[in-house]
Amino acid sequence: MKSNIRSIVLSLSRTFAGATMLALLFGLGVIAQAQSVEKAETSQQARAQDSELDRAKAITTKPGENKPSKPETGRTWGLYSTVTTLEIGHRFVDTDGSLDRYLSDVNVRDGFRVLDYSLDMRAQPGTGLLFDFLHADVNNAGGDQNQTFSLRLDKTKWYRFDSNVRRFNYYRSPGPNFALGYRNHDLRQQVSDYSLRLFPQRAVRINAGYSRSMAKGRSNPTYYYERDIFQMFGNTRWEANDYRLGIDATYRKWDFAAEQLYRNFRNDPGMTSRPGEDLGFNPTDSARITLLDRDMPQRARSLVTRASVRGSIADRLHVVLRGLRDDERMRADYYEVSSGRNRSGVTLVSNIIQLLSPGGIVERPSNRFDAGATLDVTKNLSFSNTFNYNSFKINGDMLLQTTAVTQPTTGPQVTSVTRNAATAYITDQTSYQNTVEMNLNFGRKFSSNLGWRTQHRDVVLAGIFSTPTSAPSASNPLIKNEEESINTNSFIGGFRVRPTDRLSFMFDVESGQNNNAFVRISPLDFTRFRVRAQIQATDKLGIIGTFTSTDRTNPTPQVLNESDSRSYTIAFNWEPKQRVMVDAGYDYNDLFATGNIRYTLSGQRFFGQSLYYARINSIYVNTRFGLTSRLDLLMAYYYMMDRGAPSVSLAVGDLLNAYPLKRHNPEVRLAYRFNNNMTGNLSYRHFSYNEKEFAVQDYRSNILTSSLRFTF
Amino acid sequence: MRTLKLILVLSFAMAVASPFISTKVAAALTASKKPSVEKADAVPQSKQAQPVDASQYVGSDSCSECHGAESTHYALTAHAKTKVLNAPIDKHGCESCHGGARNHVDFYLNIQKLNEVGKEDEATALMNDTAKAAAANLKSFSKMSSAESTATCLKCHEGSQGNAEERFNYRRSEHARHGISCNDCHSSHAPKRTEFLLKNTEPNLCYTCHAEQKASFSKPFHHKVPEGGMKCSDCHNQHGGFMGKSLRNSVNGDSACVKCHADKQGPFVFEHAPIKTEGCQSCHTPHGSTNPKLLTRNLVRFLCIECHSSTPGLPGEPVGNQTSASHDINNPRYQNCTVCHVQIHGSNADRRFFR
Repeated sequence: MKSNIRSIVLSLSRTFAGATMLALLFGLGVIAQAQSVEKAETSQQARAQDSELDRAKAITTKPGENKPSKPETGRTWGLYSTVTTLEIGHRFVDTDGSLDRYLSDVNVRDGFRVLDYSLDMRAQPGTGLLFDFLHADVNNAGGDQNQTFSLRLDKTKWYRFDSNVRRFNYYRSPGPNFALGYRNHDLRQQVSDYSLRLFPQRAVRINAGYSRSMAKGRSNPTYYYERDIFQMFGNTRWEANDYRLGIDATYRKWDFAAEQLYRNFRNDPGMTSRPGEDLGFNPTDSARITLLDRDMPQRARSLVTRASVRGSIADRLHVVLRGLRDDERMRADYYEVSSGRNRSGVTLVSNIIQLLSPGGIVERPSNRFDAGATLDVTKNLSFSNTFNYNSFKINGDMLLQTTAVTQPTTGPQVTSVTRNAATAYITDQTSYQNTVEMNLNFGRKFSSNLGWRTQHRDVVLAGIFSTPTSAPSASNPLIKNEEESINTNSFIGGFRVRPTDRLSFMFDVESGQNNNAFVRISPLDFTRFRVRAQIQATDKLGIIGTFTSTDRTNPTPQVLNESDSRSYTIAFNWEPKQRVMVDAGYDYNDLFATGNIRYTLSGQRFFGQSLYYARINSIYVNTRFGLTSRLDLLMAYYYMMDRGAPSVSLAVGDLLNAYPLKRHNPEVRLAYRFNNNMTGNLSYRHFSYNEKEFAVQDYRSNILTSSLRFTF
Repeated sequence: MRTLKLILVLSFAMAVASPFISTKVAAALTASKKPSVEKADAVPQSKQAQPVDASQYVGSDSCSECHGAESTHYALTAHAKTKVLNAPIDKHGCESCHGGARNHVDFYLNIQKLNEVGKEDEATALMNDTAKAAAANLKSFSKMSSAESTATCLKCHEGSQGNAEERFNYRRSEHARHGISCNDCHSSHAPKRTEFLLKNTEPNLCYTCHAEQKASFSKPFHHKVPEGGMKCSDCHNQHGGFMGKSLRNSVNGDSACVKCHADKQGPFVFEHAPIKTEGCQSCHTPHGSTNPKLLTRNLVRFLCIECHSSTPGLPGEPVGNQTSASHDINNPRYQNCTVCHVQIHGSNADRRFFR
């Protein structure tokens, strides 16, 4: 407790020091900044709301009335108010240092881009022919790390269609050593969703949807083979397709919804050896790979049925019920052929590892039921109860056969066959949770809540993993059945005070036990609380301060796990006029975790503690200055520093882990408005990354982007 | 065990049943103390049950004569669509939310007329008559408690007419619990984005309260929120839901993570059990981290060993079997468990996740 108080006081003092530093930086006018300065609003964009109002006036003006002023951007096309923007540009990237690390982190590359495209069309309410509203968006198309595409359109009473496609380019650095990886990948992941709702404002609605998630690309995975590690060529390709159809309806005060979903998932990862003989990462041992080819296709399907009801009884009791039934099934194959030398130095003519028919089979039925009820006793007092039930059972079977053909130094080839079987390999969980709450409010100025959460959970792991050649027995089940059952309780409380319209103060706390029973570091006693003060000093200046604290401990004496987190944040937003905006904040995040561990070091078993520290200071500032009526200067600065561990004395067996690093990212952009329809942009972004212990991963990069933005 | 289950079921049944009893009692008490009109005001009416007293409504055109900017902007928002719908409440435009404006309009028209005929003193006196002015006031959301304000919106928006189930559980959500009303994020009259009537775009809107998350997302490893590839509402249901921390479910009830990371969902013959029982957050921190792969520890081996160091004599001792003595962490190959245990999220061919 004392150490907690000390750490709070210490951290508070650091917070104020940080805030002071921030103020000084402002005073000296040193800071220029913004993380995504390319996407920051210019003065003209900040006026878009006014412009939109002008367009609205143009639409709603009745014959004979004075014609409204012409909006700055956009136009009126028949009964549609439209705004179209297109920003095209080119990026020039210069990187110094670890390119791998840069690609893992920033991954912005040279090239031409459609940085932004949007089309917004709105009809006078109820008058569109095919649609009343249409909005299309494209961001960073053409090769950036994150690309998004979206389209939304609707026609009142008839339909609403939403779609979005997001594409991510993920690069993972192999890292400088084993501890940090020695594996990499370069993937393109795409997540998309299409949703159609028919008759959205009518009593009965029909919903249809399709979602797709996929990834593909190349990788260099590591592979454990004959007690050595080898780096391979790998291919990743998986995709999940969801199809859904549902109906929802409103009858009197009740809403009903039901949906059926079908998902299929396919995964076709492949792995092959590098050309020539691979010595592995331990060239002094005997293991070698001269050829390896592996395929492990997986196919899964899932049928999900969900239904819900919501309604009110006597306008005081509000009830919601939701049920979900999921039936999943996975089938996996595995085929690997390799040749080389085994760990004993014997030549492997061929080594075939395969799942025998019908392959790995897994079934997972699961059920979820949620219910909630709120009773408004008076205008100021209500009671709520929420109940959740969740259960699933994963039942897997597989039979793996290894056929090794070896060539001893003398004599004929030897063939050996071994089989490993897993039967009725079960992961089973059933959990219940009930939360009772009371909410009390007195007008706008004060609201509070008190609650109690009770949880119960059963977890069972069971199954037999054995080699059929030696029949399973009491001495031969290679896995034991494991069962855990746990009850936990926690208290929830909080309040919000708004003494004036400009000041809000919030406090909330949750204390008790967590349901994380299965990991060894549990059951967890935890206390989490947040304090937040928001001050709207003027109409143009808002300030927020937040303190968040989470303490988790394990009450079991032998384990002695502890995990603490403190976060102190202060931020403000000042926008005195459309041409000036400053948004800045400072955050200090202090993380500490410890746990008893057992490990082997230099051939000796040790029992000690792992000690993890992160002391992270973050500063961000975003600004916009309209230097003239046409020229905007947008700046941003993001700085993050993890100071790692403080100086601590370690006992024998203790292991310290921390990862001190620094990253800073200043950005500046000049936006010149040639006229209301065209703006030229020139932006510069710099990223600098420094690790204290692995300087080989440091990088610095400069990104220059020039673009033209058209609005019409 | 069965007893506990029984208690849980009974407690829920009691919780559901008790409101009926309380309702009767409260109704009886209210009936004895208050006139029926007040009773109707005390609790929000559902959309269909909205009382329609035609004489109290003047129509949106009257509103636009004085409140031109609001009225004009309103024409571009989704709310304007209610004009073409059929429910009684939908016929009333501005008055659907602000209540019948007959008294309000009459009051200010009287003042205007008095001014026009030169009776400025009478007009001023009427203006200063606080009782009459108060009676003429419309429902003002800036003066309501968060519960009242929210209840007004939920009259139409609690149901499935938006996205199915999106707001079903709002009354028991984290935001509602903390006194956040719809108007804290949405603006009917001056939204930054007319789509969803948001006061600001995501994630900036969320940062206005959750400022600490902006710093989290500036860490070297983060979900792609600052880059615009994701937004807070992809993982969190700001309107509630049934998961802790307002998290969304995937369609089959699993955590929202597998919506994008579908290859980690399985099911697998050999599950790494904590992933299914505790969730991805056992090992990963979702917003941002200084550790690669958003892990909760900077080196993989520490993360693994903290569980895989079973202490003899503890309940559930086999859980998290300790590492073998051959795993000497002085040896580089044992410094990162997932270099060998590559299928750490689950495997169909190897219970130790080698393949």
